[in-house]
Amino acid sequence: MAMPGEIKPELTERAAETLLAMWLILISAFFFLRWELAYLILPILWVFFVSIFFFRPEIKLEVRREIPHDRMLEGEVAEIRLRVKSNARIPSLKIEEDIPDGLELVEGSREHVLSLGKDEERVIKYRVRVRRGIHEFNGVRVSYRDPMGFFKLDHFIEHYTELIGMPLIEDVPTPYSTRGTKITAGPLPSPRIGEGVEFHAIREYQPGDPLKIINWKATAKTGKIMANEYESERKVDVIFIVDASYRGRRVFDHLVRAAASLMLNALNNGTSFGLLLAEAVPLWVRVDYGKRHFFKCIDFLSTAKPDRNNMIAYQVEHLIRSRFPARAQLLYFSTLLTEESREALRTMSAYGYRVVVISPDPYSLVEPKTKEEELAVRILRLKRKAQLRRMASHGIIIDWDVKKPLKAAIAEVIHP
Amino acid sequence: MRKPKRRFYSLIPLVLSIYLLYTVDRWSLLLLPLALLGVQWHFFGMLFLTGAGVLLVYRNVGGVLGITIVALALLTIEMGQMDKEKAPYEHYAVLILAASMSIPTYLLIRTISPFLPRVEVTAVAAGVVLALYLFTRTAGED
Repeated sequence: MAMPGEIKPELTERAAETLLAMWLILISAFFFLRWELAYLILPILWVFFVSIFFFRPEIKLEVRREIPHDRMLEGEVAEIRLRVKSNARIPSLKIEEDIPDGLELVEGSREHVLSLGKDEERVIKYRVRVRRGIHEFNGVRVSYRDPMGFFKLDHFIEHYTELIGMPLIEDVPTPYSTRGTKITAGPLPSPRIGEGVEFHAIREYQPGDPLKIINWKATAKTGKIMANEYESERKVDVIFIVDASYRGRRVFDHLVRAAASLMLNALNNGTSFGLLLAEAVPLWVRVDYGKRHFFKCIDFLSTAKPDRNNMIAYQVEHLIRSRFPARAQLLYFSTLLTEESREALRTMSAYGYRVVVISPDPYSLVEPKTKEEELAVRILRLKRKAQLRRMASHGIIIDWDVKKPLKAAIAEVIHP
Repeated sequence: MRKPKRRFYSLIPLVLSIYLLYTVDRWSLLLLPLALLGVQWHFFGMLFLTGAGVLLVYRNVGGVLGITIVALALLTIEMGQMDKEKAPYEHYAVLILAASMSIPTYLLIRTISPFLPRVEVTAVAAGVVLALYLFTRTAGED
């Protein structure tokens, strides 16, 4: 995308000072009644004249930014190219790239000084490390000085680029049973919908049954004609509830990674899933299945930010009443630090839902520097442990020390 | 030896301008500190230029000498800034050429002035003021 920006110069302080000096000399010539000496300002006039008529720029710049992909995994390094093309000769142009805060510069610089010929295009390259979230580049700041420094241009050329840092996804086991009430359809491993593909039991052959379901081994064993019975594949609906409370901001990235990983797991299992992102303004993505739905949910997870939200219990209750499918499996991602988040868990359990809570330990990333701090962390951890134990009756709680892989934390609690 | 952070080409016009000013009036040595500061800071440089200009007017020193002194003082300050920024050499060339164009311009005015009516000097002065006004307008407009 090209965005031409027409820029108009303005006088610098240096020019103003020079003009003032010129006026003072001129006025003194008149003051001392030596008018003819006004020509003493000729050198200054000439320098100004040259500066105005030969170097006063009428710049039309085209700026284009190229990023490797719109979406990148957090932690990846992206090489960003900024193409700058000028329609006029610019002897010295300073360009400052507007790098969003969420991107960490690892190579190159945000400021560059270029000398551009007419229709010359230059490419500025730099590398950034992507963090999770939406990263918006709004434009570039250009600044030009003529050789004498009498004119300056400070201009912001708008050029919008968006880069989404997606959460890291790891391979995790399924911490819940995928069996449920829903007959699945769509891109799932079910060749005959309704009739069933999953083995259920062996029963006696009834006239009218297709011959191909006869279980010959069982027939030989029992002496009666036996047939296999199948049931259609029934799956559970999974609802992901992400608590975006600011109290858990220290491990929020891990919380989102866990949600994304389990979402990929749900996609691979062929279950349908919905997402509730409990920020101050809650975001609800209705239950659906398939890759497109998965990427939609991942986009929302990418942009999730810790928020001052103390309404999660209310949001959950409201959605349970109006949106959540009956007998769904709830996956609740929360540090359970706030009373509201614990209340939300009690509500889910009270409505009869099966809940698995993935609770990253917010203190697992704290590295105490003094003995007092160490003691404080230990007390806080004990307090959290006690709270988790109290909440254990409301669901399966997976207490996750984020320094360990999520897979290990799930395996500790759930034994397949 | 550590490499200095800036260049020092501006000292050449500085020495020349101070010497020429000294030949005009030995009290002009008082402007030397301002000139030295002006090499680094533009504002002091402009005080030096103003001081030199007013001194020349006061002592009624015009002609090629007067213009040369003003041009050298201006070069001192502007080259000082270029030294600071380590500007490309073509910028120095443009500056020196622009400043030195004032001498042929002066000579041209001198040559045509006998053919002009008696009010010639005032007319030239008025022309200069008008040009100055126009430049300021052109430079300042957005």
